[in-house]
Amino acid sequence: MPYVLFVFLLPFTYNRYLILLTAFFSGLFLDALNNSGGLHAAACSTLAFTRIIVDTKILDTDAIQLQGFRYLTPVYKNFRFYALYLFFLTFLHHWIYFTLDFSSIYSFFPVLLVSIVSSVGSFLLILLYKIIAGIR
Amino acid sequence: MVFLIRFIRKNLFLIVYLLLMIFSTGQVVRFNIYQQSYYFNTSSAFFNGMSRIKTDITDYFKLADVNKALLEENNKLKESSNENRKFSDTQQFIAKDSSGNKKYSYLTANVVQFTTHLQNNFITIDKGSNQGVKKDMAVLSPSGIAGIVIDVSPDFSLVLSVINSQFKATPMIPAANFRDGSVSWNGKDPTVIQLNGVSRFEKIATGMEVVTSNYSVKFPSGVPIGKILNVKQSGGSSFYDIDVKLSTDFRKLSHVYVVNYRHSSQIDTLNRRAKRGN
Repeated sequence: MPYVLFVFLLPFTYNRYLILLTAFFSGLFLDALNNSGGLHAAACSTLAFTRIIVDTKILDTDAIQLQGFRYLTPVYKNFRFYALYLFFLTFLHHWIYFTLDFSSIYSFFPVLLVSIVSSVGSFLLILLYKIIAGIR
Repeated sequence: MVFLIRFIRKNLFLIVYLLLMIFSTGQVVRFNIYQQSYYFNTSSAFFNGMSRIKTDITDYFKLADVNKALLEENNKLKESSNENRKFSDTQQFIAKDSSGNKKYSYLTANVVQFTTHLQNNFITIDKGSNQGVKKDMAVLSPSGIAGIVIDVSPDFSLVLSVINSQFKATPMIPAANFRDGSVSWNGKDPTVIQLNGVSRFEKIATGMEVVTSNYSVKFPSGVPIGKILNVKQSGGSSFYDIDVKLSTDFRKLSHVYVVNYRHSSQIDTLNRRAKRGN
């Protein structure tokens, strides 16, 4: 599910409510296409929420204002940090998605396995996009 | 009130997020049949459990009445059914020994109940002590051995099936001129029985026929047990591990013969006297 890139690409300088609602409605749009109720919406809004919290904790707002930062990019921190950031947020999104999809306490480990494997896939596709578009 | 408003304003972002989550999870539950069933199962499990405990207690006190009613119903059904009259006369045929004395008498019986999927399988037949069935009599199927009678009621008997882990019989392999060892079942395949105690020096081959031994007191000699399926030699052991394909298909058992060995009581008394003598 590499569409999570969309949520990552939302500019940090936007209003956080706008980011949250945009992520939510993009998820809901996918749900309408997939006929899956609110699986994507729940996962996407969680992703957006966590992303905003993480961003505000990590990013130095003064530096952003001074240097005109718009995105969290590998330029700001090193690439390894950025990859870790991408992967864990992607994993969180997938984990929420598959937990709701399986909806069973007893399938904790299958859910973990499926979400790890598919988040690796999504992560690689996101990286591919970054390489094609050029890492800035 | 002011505090509440301040609280909401402070945590508005979190509250918006939680509202969105509640909405989307609600949508998941509403749209997806699987999640819906999971939610309703979890919530109703508690109430179902409570009501089950209640019915368990009340049912326990009704058990005696229920049993009586069931017995009456059973008797009525048995009296009314045609099965009851199927083998009402005691059919017997008799095998004579060389001197013309009756050695074995056979009694046909219908299989009422049987299992093949358990570790200890039993067969219930519709002949009992009223028809002359006694404990320890051998039971044969049309194509081979079937078991040994272990319990008798007036009209029914319980037969320890060959495919029971407690069954044992003495085999004989005429083609190898071998009369020793024992057959027993390891509980895995209901069509295969194990032959133990065959020495490595015996000339055994697959396909040889295994029959009951003439040393057996219960079984008549020469009743087919099965054919040797495969012969294995476990390391270090001086015996073969032999699988025998049963000639009786226990999954299709419908009628059996109960064998009455006329001289079994004499042999029993002799054995007992010998033991007492020691």
